[in-house]
Amino acid sequence: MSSAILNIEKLTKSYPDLNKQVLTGLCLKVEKGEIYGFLGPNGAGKTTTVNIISGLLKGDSGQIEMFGRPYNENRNYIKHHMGLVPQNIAVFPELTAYENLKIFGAIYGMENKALKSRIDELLELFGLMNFKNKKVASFSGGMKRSVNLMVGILHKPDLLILDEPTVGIDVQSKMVILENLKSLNKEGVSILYTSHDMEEAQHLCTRVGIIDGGKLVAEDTPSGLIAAHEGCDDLESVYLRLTGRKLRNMED
Amino acid sequence: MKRLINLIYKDFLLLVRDKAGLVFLFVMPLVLVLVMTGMQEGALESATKNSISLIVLDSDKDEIGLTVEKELQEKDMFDVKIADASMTEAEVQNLVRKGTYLIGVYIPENTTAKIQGNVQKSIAAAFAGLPASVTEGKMDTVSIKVFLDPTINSTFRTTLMSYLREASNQIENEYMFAKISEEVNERAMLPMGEFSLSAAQPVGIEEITYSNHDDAKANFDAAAHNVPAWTLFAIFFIVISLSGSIIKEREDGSFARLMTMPCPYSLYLLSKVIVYVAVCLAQFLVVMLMGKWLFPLIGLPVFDMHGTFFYCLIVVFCAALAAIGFGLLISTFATTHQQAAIFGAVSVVILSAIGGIWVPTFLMPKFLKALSMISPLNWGIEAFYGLILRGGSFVSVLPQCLLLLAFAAVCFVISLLAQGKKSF
Repeated sequence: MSSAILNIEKLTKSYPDLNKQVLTGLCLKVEKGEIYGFLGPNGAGKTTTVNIISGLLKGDSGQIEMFGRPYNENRNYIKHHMGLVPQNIAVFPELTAYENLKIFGAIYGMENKALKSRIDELLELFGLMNFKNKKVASFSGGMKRSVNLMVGILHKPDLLILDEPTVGIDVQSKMVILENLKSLNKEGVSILYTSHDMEEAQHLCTRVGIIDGGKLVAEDTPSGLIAAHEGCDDLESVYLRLTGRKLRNMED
Repeated sequence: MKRLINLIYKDFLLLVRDKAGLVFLFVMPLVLVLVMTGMQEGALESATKNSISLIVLDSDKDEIGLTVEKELQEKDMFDVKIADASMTEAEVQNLVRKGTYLIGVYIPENTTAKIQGNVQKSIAAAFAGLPASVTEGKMDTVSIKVFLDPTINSTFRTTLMSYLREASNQIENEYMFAKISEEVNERAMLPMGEFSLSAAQPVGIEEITYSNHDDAKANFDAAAHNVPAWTLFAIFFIVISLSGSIIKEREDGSFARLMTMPCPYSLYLLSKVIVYVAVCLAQFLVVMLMGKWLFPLIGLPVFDMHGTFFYCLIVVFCAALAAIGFGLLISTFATTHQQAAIFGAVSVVILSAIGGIWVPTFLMPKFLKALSMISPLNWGIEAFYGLILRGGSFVSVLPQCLLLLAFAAVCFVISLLAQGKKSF
């Protein structure tokens, strides 16, 4: 049994319809308490990996352990202890922020009293208390992203998986979200975070892994990666050196 | 249980906040029932209540003419006008041509006398021991002319012709028997009394409509057909709302998010089933109440379930499950909301048309009647007929209910298998 909160061994996944092998033996380990940046170009296999570990897809082969437990035999336990913030705003736009949080919280099995107090806490934290009874459809992009994030952290997960949580929002909203992620991490929440924003990853992540062609091509702390690549002075230049400058337009 | 309650709460909120969807689910069936019942009742009324204008020009003014006048005036179907004696055949014909009257009946002068003459010749020849061929060509031609507007349908034509034949035949027969009595009395040792056909006890034709209802009022009228028929149509039209809701949740990612949570797919579906079954039951209640309370106020026939309300609810429940299964099946294979909406709407309209919702199946040609057996809406409407019109017990409509449930089960199984292949 591994000490890692997430341990992926030799994970493969192909899409026969597309004649495409997306993951080609991915090995990835997220230790407890870290913010792991999972970076890679479009089509590298990030979202496929996230979909497999969140239970939306089945891998072809390989092993996954979460919280020290084999994935397939402990799905229910894992779902209770994992939080997912997908790239899309995956909430019900016709419901209010409060109703969304209440329904998702109840699905996690949270008790009414604890749920209400947690919802208030999060609404306060993200500055949305005055908007709690407004429909999410009427929110700005940043506010929607905040609700999207709140749903993922509502039940205080041990591992939070974020798939590009700050894409398409203004700087102010991005700052609020990143600050809250750091606070969560300080509270003990481990984070697996995918992004295309290298600057954001460099400042937020304690460790990053760069995936290309369905497997990790580099893994270290941001400073360790920069130091290991001569002539690179930031994570973006390391990333470009490792993944190339060729245009990728294939979503995975 | 708490999860299920919250999922139901979610689906309920999403449903009630979709104002256009609510109009679609509840107002559309009410409008359809009202319009279709009104139209069909109008058509039925026109077949029975003084709506066919008819003019009779009786130039005979004898027994035949008077009997025809009387017979026609006694029929509810016709609004009879007796033409002035001064009118001519051509004028009556012209009135029908112009559309002033839909039917014109012209009884020529001496019609009665001619019939009497013909009978007399025929009987005299028979009693003289001559063959029937002797009178051939010696009879007067007797004909009552009927002018018809081209819009008169074949049912009215047949009915009118049958009235006229019946009236003239009866009188001809009366004369014949009277003449025979006369001849017999002249020749026989024992005189024969006067014989009257009209005094004889006619053969009784007893009308028995098969129905187990005690009140024997279970008639097939526009309300008895349209209320259940359009309720079923509305129930099956939820496939658009249901499949749309599932596809929308799939597209915006909230479905995937739910699947990453401790929320089994079966629970997700169960919530949809409960909410949409409730919608279907509400649709039935609303339409049924309209049929019961509003219809009589606006001159339409009352919708009466003859004490089968709870059995009807069970039929609605079975139809709702079939519709939900169908909606789920569509949502499984459709990739966009538009696809689901178009396929859902077209397929329900076709299934309803062949299922006897628009036009009852007994009015359909043979091949369509056979085809109607494959439509779940036909199973539903037959179950309603069985309960409301035939007064059958629930057991008698159990086969239709089981068919609806089997259809639902097949749809659910295919959807679950296909969904299982797609992911998790």
